[in-house]
Amino acid sequence: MKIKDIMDPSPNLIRTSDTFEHLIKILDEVKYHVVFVVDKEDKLVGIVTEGDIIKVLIPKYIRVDELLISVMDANYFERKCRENRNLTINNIMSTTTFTVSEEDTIIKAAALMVVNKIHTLPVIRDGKVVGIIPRLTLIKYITKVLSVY
Amino acid sequence: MVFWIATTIFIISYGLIVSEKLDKTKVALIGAGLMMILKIVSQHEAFYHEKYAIDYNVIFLLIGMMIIVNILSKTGIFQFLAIKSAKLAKGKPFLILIFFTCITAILSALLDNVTTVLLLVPVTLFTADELELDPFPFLISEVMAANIGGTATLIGDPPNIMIASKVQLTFMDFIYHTTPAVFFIFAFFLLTIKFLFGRKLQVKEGLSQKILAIDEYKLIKNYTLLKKSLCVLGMVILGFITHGIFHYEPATIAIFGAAVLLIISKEDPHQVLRELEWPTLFFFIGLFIIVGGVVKVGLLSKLSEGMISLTKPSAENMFFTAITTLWFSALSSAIVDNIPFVASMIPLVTDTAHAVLPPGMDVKSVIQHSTLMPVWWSLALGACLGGNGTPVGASANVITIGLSEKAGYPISFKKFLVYAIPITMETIIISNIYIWLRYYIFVKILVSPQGIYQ
Repeated sequence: MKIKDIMDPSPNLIRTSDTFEHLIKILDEVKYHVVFVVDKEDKLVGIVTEGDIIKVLIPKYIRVDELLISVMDANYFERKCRENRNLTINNIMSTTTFTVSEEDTIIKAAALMVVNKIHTLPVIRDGKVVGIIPRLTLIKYITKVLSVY
Repeated sequence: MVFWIATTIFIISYGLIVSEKLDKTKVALIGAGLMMILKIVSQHEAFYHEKYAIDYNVIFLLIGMMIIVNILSKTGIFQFLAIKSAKLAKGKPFLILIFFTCITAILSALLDNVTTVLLLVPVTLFTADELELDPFPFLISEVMAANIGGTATLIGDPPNIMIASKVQLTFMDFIYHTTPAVFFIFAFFLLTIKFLFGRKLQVKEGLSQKILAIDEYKLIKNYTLLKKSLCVLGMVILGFITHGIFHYEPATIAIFGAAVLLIISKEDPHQVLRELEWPTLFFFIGLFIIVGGVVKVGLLSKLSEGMISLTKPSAENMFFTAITTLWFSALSSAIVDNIPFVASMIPLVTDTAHAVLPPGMDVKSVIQHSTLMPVWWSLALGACLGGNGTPVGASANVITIGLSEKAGYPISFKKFLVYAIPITMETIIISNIYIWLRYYIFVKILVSPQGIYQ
């Protein structure tokens, strides 16, 4: 069995120049809470996960001194949401992206997810995103394998 | 032959440390290893010799203070002090800047300045964020204050610890000699930041109220640990103040205080000891052995001949030696790490004194000779304050710039230099005037030059 047999062929895509607000609107409407970032030629350049979105709203100094969480302004989160409304996607996305191709094996996708602690993989053809493999798809496939026996 | 091998090891090691191409601890340890493997110094000399060995007083003083500060930092007291002062300033940004700068200077004088900035930079970024201000004026002022404050005491900055150990100076010697200089330097420094940032720091209406609304007591995580830590720190500082009277080395007091705090705090020693700055400690160990090697082969005696012909010191007056040391130390410490610089300057100044002062005097009488003392104070002031000159001049600068960048406020090399160079120049000029007035003008008027240090 290959990736093309189980992948979802309708991934969520966004451009680097799109805004934070646009991203949130997309996520409100789609199935997976992961969006792949593409350039003008539709080539994959990054990924935005829920973690990336929350990271934007949390001050970075908290990672150095967690003690300050206890005195942070109660309205900080809402203020940062509004302040970042027009922030572009290239300031939010992660650039390290692991990919698979349609012809790759399912074990390759499963191994990449476990080794690199990732939840979703983009499926690539000629640099363009043609599908998505979330962990949930792998679980569903396991059900299918077991029912055969 | 041995002379050239030792000199080559010394030059290559220092070159690699300055170039930052290899980790400085690795360089220091391999240099030290070569000095021993090639039998330039024997292991016995490297470990136990009076002149060539590792200075355990420095190592154990650093370890003791690192343990105390490590436990103290877990209580939240640093963050509490910062927020408390911001509230006392009623949320007014320039007043907060002044208070943060003063806290940084005082804590850097009593603890180590790297820990001070490590704990104060995040709370500074938090305050600036709450006030919707650019954190740069706060950060640059704090990092400068950390290096200025550290100059004030024996325990404030590693160069002072190293000088105190070799010259057998007490905590109070530094209080009498470098603290007054730092007092003047800091006063001018505050005026300078008033001039630089006084008008720039304005906040939108209502934002100051946010600072006043913070409950700073939430930051204290463990009151019992805080009481125990402050009690031990207080006793250790009292011990430093009186160590000259009771004839204890500062390292004895620091290690004893650290041991007492480890016991009464019930902190896991494995955890505390794991968090110490071991690379810095091994960097010191390696450097001491490298410098021991070049002292033994006579390289620093040869360099001291150059210093004598350049600055013409005499048994009665070493004014030009002191001033040259001040400026040379400041320039060198701005460019390279001040620890290796001071490690090699101490034997160089000692050799110069032996060559110039009358023969037949014992070692202590030579290194603490009244005409030589201004040179030591110049070395301390120059090496500590010079660290402010560039982003890589002192560990506190590197830490602050790193944290600021991590928090999304990168400070460029150029931007740092624009503020750092004039401020460093100002502090060295004031030091120069202080050295000149205190040891060469007022001494002539008020006291006989002989005997003031005895």
